[in-house]
Amino acid sequence: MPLRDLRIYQGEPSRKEIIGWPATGIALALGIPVVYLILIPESLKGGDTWLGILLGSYALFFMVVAFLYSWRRARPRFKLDKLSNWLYAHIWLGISAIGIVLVHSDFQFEFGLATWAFITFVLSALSGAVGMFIFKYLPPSISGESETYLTPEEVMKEMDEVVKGIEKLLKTLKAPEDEDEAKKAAQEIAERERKLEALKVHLESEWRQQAPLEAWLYFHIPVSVLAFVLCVAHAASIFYYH
Amino acid sequence: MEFDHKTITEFAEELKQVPFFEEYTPVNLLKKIPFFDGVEEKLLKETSEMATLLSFKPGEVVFKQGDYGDTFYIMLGGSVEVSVKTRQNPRLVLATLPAGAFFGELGPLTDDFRSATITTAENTTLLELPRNLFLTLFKKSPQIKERIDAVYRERTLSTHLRRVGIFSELPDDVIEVLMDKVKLVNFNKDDEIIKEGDDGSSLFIVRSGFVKISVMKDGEDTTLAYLKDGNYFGEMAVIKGEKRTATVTAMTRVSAVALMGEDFKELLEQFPGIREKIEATIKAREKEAKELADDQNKKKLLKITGEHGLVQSDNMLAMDMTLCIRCNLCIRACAYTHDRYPRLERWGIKFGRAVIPTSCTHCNTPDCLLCVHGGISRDPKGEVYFTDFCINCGACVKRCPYGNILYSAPYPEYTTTKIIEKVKKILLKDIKIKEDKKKRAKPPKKFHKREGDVRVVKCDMCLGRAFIACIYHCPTNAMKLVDPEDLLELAR
Repeated sequence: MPLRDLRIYQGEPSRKEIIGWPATGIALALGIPVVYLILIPESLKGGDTWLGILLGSYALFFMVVAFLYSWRRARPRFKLDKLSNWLYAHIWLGISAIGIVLVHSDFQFEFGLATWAFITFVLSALSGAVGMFIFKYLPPSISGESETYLTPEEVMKEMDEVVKGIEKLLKTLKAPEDEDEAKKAAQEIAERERKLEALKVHLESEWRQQAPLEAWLYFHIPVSVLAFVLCVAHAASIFYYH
Repeated sequence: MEFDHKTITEFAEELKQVPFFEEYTPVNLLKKIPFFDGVEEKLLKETSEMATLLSFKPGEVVFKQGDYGDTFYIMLGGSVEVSVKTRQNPRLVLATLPAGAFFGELGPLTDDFRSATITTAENTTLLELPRNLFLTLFKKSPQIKERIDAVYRERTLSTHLRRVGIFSELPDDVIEVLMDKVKLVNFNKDDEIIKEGDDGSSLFIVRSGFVKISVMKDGEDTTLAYLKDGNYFGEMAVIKGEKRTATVTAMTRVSAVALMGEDFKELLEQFPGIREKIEATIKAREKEAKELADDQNKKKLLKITGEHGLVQSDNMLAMDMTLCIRCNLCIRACAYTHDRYPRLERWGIKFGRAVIPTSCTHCNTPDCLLCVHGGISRDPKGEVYFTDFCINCGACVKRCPYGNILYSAPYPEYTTTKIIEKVKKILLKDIKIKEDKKKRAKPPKKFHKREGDVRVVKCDMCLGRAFIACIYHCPTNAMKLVDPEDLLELAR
């Protein structure tokens, strides 16, 4: 079979994305705490038991996998799975890690490194949820009704062209051959200036509308990095205590 | 004997190693082939450098019906079967060609897809001529032109008529009679084939290209439909005896078969089954036209797909703007998949919530294939791509009517890659790496250097790769591969 016919990725979400990852995330986030509360004996509960350490390791592993999304995003030549699958894994493994951490800590928190790691991780997850909300609801509202779609970069290119046109016409205006030519040049300059103004307004509006699509990342990324560092520090600290 | 794509020149070099065969120069070898009788030596020399020898075992397929191909073949030994797929017969053998015969001329002459399947019946040796070489020989050698013209009409009609739905069930003897009555006609882009209100006397069957069916309504030219190869038009006026009900315009270079009204009526009387099918088509078309009058979205879609060449594509990229988060990862993925030169621009015509980004639509009859250097070719599945013969002159950028061939500036290299390259240079500076000698010499290349390292590029749908990079790398599945007909659904 020719290679192209095997390419099933035509831009539709796969089953993994729609069912697989959400089911996995919810099952882990809710299932593990329920099982822990009902079935696990008291002697095994707590962050310093072997079960607690195991659960902590799983949570850290899921955080590492979730973190790998940013690495994968920057590697277009990496072939293992679609980026959208990685994003779903990032979201759902991150969410399930919260449930596992709650269980790992036996639902007890004291002022210290572990609690700060948990708080920053929850903040990271919450900002991620805000990001998901923005990604879901903002693009449909800024799609617009125009006949063509231009990116801000294209708008700026067009503005450059208009400015170049105005500069040429200004040269004509400085040394016109006759009055008619001067009038025509002046009219064209006025028209181009109006077009430039319209493009400027369009560009500002695009930037303003699109800003939230990136703005939330200025909180999410630093908080996630901090959470990761604190979690690794907390994991390393068990060797100090033990 | 395996020839492994050797040129005649290379083959002659090998023969020279045997003292008794020293007289066999490349030109002398070609003169022994009847197809090249009377052809001047200058053309033979060019042929010896570019044509390649191929060997096939029995039962191997040289090319399939429906594939796009632009190479021409001359049989040096063995035999091949020419077959077509019809509704009744998955493999109807039309002819067996012996040594000395030739085939594949329709591909380079019409840029159309292969009209039949060629399968070897025994061990076969072929001489393959690439498109630009074949067209040079066809234009400059009257002898070759005469030989090709003699078989072109017969082969074109016999395979093509069988592919058209209403004629596919006709017996062979009727097809042969029909072949004498039809005319092959060609139209250039924007030619008016039939005009609304004129008298109608013939039926047309589209052999290749696209035509637009439109009517004047309230002073506005309204597109009703596009028809491609295998479809027919002009039947309403012939059957009902009325004036033409629509205007038909060639959207691309169109090749068609014209059947006069009287001959067509005679055929209908002989085969009432065909009459029923045509009357059913007429009813369906009238119904579609009525529905179109009320559907503004569909009218707009037809206008856009025609004006921007989308009607020619089977698959095209479309962005769902309600999912697109403007991250530009699609362009980045395209750049890093193609030596840092992106072929995609994330802007274009908008239809509802869908945007058709600036990327190649792999037209059925691409204008860019007219490249004189052979810098653009087409994969058997129809994908148009740049070849090693491209010299970056940019003529195709102006030729593409849809602005889908671009000048592209490179993306910066990854920082980690730059560091790795620097380290490699320091560590490996004393070690020289020998390059493997290539078996075939590359064509001479005069690369046009453009300012700022800009190159001419076009989307090749990531030919040869397991996935389309922009679709694979879109985090929200906004980038999709759709059929033009599905665009209406996506736009809602």
